Amino acid sequence: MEPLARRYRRLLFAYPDSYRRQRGDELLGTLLDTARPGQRRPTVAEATDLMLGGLRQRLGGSLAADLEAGLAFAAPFALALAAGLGGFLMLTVERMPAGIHGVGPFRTVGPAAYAVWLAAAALRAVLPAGLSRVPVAAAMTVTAVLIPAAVISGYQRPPLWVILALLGFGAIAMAGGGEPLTGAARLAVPVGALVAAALAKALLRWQQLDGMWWDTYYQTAPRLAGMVAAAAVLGVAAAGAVAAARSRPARPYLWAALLLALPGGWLGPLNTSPAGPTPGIEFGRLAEVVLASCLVLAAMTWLAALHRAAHADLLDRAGGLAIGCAGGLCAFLGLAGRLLFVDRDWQFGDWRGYVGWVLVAIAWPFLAPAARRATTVAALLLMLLAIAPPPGVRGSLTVLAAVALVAPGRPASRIGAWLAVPLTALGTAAAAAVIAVYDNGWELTGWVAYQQTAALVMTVAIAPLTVAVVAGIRAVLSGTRTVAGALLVLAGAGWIGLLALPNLARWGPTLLLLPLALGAVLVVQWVRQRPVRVARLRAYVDAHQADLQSLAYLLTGDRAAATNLVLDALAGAYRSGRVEDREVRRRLVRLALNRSTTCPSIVDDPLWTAMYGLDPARRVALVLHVHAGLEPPQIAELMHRPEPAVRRLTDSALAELARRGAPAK
Amino acid sequence: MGVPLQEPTFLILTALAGGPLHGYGVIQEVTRLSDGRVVLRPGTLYGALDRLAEQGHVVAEREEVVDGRLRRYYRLTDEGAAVLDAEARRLADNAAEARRRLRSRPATAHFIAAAPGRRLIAHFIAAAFVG
Repeated sequence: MEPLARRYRRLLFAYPDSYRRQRGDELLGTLLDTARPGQRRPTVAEATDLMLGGLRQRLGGSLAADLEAGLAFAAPFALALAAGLGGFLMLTVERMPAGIHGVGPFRTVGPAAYAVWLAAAALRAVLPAGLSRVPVAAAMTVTAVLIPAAVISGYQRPPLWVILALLGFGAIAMAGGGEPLTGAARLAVPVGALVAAALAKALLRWQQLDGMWWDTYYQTAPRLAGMVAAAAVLGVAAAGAVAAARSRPARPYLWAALLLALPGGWLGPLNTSPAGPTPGIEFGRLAEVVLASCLVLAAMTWLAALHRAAHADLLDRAGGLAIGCAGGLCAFLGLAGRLLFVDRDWQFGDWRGYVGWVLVAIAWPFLAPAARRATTVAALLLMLLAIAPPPGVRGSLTVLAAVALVAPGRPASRIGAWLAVPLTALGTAAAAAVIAVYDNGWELTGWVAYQQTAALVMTVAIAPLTVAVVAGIRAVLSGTRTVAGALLVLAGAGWIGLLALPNLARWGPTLLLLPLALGAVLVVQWVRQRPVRVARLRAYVDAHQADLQSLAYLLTGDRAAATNLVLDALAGAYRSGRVEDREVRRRLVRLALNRSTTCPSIVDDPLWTAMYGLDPARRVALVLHVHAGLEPPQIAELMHRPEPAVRRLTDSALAELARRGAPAK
Repeated sequence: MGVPLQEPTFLILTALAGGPLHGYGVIQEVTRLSDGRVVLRPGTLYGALDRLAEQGHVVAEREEVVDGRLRRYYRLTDEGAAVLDAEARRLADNAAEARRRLRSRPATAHFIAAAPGRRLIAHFIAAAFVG
């Protein structure tokens, strides 16, 4: 192949595999047609064009557009919330009683940043669009500098979550800002900031806390600010509900609500974790923040999934993620327990309780699903038999193992699948290390309470468990692997709920409001779209019923069974919201793989009789090839298997038929 | 129907109105139609063709291999022709209305600054979700 064609082909990797298989040659041909004579390399413009084209293909249309609109909508809210929060904190928590001095008249170094946020909100009204991001960038910089400044100067700083929430709001304001404003819209951000600060202050007065909590540092104030953020999230989501009710696109509003809810959730919760070493795990603030973030991220992925074919293999990944997390946690807890804690043997338990998980995580990509299950059980038994981790840690590891047992996944084939588990383990161990350093007063060694730190570190397990719950819900909703899906939901949600519910009353407001708001919008959207969906289904059935029926008849060999198969496939596709030919056929084939068949009674042909005696996979592959006249790539897509495997299936099916003495076609 | 077509889409449909064309043919024809103002790149073209095919406005008709390069020809469907016709009518009406008003009063130019950074960020966040 000439070098230019080779380089173009490399650029085409921007497109999804399936698209490249179908259209790659055609695209390449056109690219070569448009190339200048003598051109040896793709131009930057061509490369960008292909990258964007591939991205668009992968996103399946309008996701980026929705997100962009959502960011633009959320940006002024984010800036107003950040400035309002700053103003509120500066006027209340930070104000020291007369006679006591901190940083000048203030308690911490925080006001330096708060003042810049207030200025940024005010400047939004006057600066031209091109410069409007500059003050936000300045405010973010000052906010980030608070942490080292507090360390160097020895003064107190605001809590980490307040700083992170400000940075989060700032990131939204940066990303979505830059919109030119006219007239009254210019005043929206400053006025919004004032309203936010006044609302938080009113809440404070309502709770009769004004002026009497100067000795409690920041304890309650961020929570009140979190209430205001939650109100903004609810407002944006309500705007989405109104849009949906008027049949206008609601997704940009949902994106805006979710984007705001992410940093908003960090403001909410009180610290509920008990002081001192505890034998079990109880959720503290970190867990609440992680859980709130996971919920928001799960909602975001769900929203993103509406735009494209759902990842059917999320269920296959859940187990790997869980075991990667378990391995990373144990690698850290085992190693840290031996090396970094002062009381090495006290409460740490036996190293054998940890090592099994690490080994399983390392071996995972190399194992077949059955072996994965077996090794997980072995690690579980080893942990339970050895005098091992604290009970709470044991509980979390057991739940992670349950997820791995239910969803051991497929053998690793692509590079991503090989790397997923090791990378998860490494990331988990790194996160655990950061949390442990934080929990031990930012000391790097010589840690004291193993059990307490271990309990806090286990918070990380919330992330893979959330993935498991999402995968489970998707599996149940789409009607495939319902039992496995239900088990995953039970394991993940059950464990998180068990730990979270006792303290729910003290949790931040966002966590409670968010699902409520989202649920409302989705219900509205669902109701509005129902007639459209039904009409689409009817049109599809009218056009394709005969084709489907005959394909199903070939696959099952029985008229009644074929009708059932078609109805099940249609119902599944309807429930998943994707009544498309490809999706329905894929479901049809998948269902046929799990059903027994009879040879059609009207057929008196030894080939047919022999064919219907084959095992399901080979029979389906052969029927699709010989009778439906499909080529291996199409069969591979329908059967959700790699193409070489399909070729092997058809070849061995034909060989089997030949062996049985039937005349092979 | 009813939603205004974007200019590249309009030009692609117009190009195909003259008869079936392959990808490169469409690019050349669109360049010619717009006096060189709109130069489609393949990624953009096939994105638009996929969308149009999905909407049933164009169909892939036949394939041929020239110099080892695969060429697929696209044809305007009756539905696509109807959409193009409606759009052309709308544009003509708009143009007529604009001309009528221009005759009666002067217009003022209005510039709107774009926010290119946001689009890029949205793309990257979106890509992260697709994984």
